[in-house]
Amino acid sequence: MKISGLVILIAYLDPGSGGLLLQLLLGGVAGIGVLLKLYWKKIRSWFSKS
Amino acid sequence: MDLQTSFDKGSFKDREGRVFTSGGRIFRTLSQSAFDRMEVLEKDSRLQRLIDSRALIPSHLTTAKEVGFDPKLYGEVIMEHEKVPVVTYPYEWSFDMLRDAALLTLNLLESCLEMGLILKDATPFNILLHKNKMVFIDTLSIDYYTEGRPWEGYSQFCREFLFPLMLTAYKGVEFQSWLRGELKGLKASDLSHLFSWFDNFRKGVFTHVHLQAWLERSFARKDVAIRNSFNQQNYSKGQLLRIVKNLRRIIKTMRYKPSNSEWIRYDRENPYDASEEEKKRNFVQKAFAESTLHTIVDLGSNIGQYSAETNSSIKTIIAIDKDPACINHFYHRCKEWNTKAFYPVVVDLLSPTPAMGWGLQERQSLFERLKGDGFLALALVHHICIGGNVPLLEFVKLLKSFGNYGVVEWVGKEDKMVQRMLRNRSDIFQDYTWEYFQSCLEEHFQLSKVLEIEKGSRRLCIVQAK
Repeated sequence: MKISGLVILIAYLDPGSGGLLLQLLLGGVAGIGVLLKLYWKKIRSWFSKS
Repeated sequence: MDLQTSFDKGSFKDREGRVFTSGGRIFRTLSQSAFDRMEVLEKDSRLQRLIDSRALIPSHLTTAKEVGFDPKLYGEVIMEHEKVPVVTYPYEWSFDMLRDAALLTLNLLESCLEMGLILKDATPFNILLHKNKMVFIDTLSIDYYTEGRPWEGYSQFCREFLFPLMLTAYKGVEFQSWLRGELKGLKASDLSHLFSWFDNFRKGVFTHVHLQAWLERSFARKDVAIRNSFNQQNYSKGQLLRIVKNLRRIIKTMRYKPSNSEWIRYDRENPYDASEEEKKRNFVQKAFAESTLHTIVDLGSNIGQYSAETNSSIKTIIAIDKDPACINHFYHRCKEWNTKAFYPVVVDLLSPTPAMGWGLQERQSLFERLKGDGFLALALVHHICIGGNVPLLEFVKLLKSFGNYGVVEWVGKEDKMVQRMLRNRSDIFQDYTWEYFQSCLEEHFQLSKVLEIEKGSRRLCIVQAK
């Protein structure tokens, strides 16, 4: 059930995470590096799922 | 001896301490961790420095026994805060009130960081107007700063301060009803939909709105431990201070440009004769000249031109008006006066602030909080009873709920402004007459004096509850 799955995901959204990531990004070059690393993990997770 | 106390229903979420009142004084219980921290900060004068800067409400530690409480119920040591007599909420503030509260939060955060401290959260509910100045009241929000730690209050600051201010300054939409609709503030994702591509040129929109919303969308559903990344990156105090400075720069450049304030225009282009205006002013001054009242609620205050000039023995003025631009103007005037405590409030009496939050008790309704012993209701009756279809008797009952003594102005159908209101609608107000209004007043009050102005189309009345 895609719809119910979506509802569950939204219910568990952490609204503070965007703010934390933004603070990393505004923190400077090192922060951008950490963010890219997190993104790389995210991209890898797509492939591991499939 | 144990005094009668009542816990404030708005502070129940704080595990470190709950606010309670007793004998007109304000206290706070302290958990062990809160006590340990507050004791250190009081001893090394860091709290006092923040109090001296007028950013933080004066507070001190005391023992429960000393003030007559049972230590088993309240703990050995409690904190006493200076009392703020009138509580108003951020959705009842004007633009510059919220802007000043935002700047106070950032300045306080900066001072805290310089002293090795931080603010745990960032909500305007931690701030109250006191002695005509915004002051931070939640002392327990002050915590030790740990190097490498982000500011946990950043997102909350955006939702409850920055975004409502952006909404008004950048889009010309007053924020009050939006904040009233969502106690946790405006979401970055919602604001991101609202701002156009051109808005990216406005300060802070791209970074704090779009980028934050995008990051939230991208990562919020992923199970990644973001907090650890701050330690890996050696996130420093300097980096945090940069964000604080950036937010302050954005907020300082924001300007309030009310586009459609009919009330400020009304005050400037007042259609009435100057001598009639003078009569009205004198009548109001005399009505309160020998009164022993302490607090007056000025209903439909406009820019407070009548209540501000009342007898100096009246110490508190609560000025309520539905027009945010008027209240904003009044707020700036208040800052210059030290003779009275002014509480400007943006509220439409036809849609007053309801009780909200957990169990509808976390945030109190307007009528639970704002009370006086006198009232002023000038040029208001036609807005409520013709503009809002409210029966005259209900209007009189509303006046009584705000005080036992007051001045109310009757505005008849022959008045220019009422005629303008009725020009394009059918007149269904058959009972809107002076005779019926007088009988309604006399049901609840004693009518002690009436003065006709504007050739009898308006009448000023002094009323005293029976």
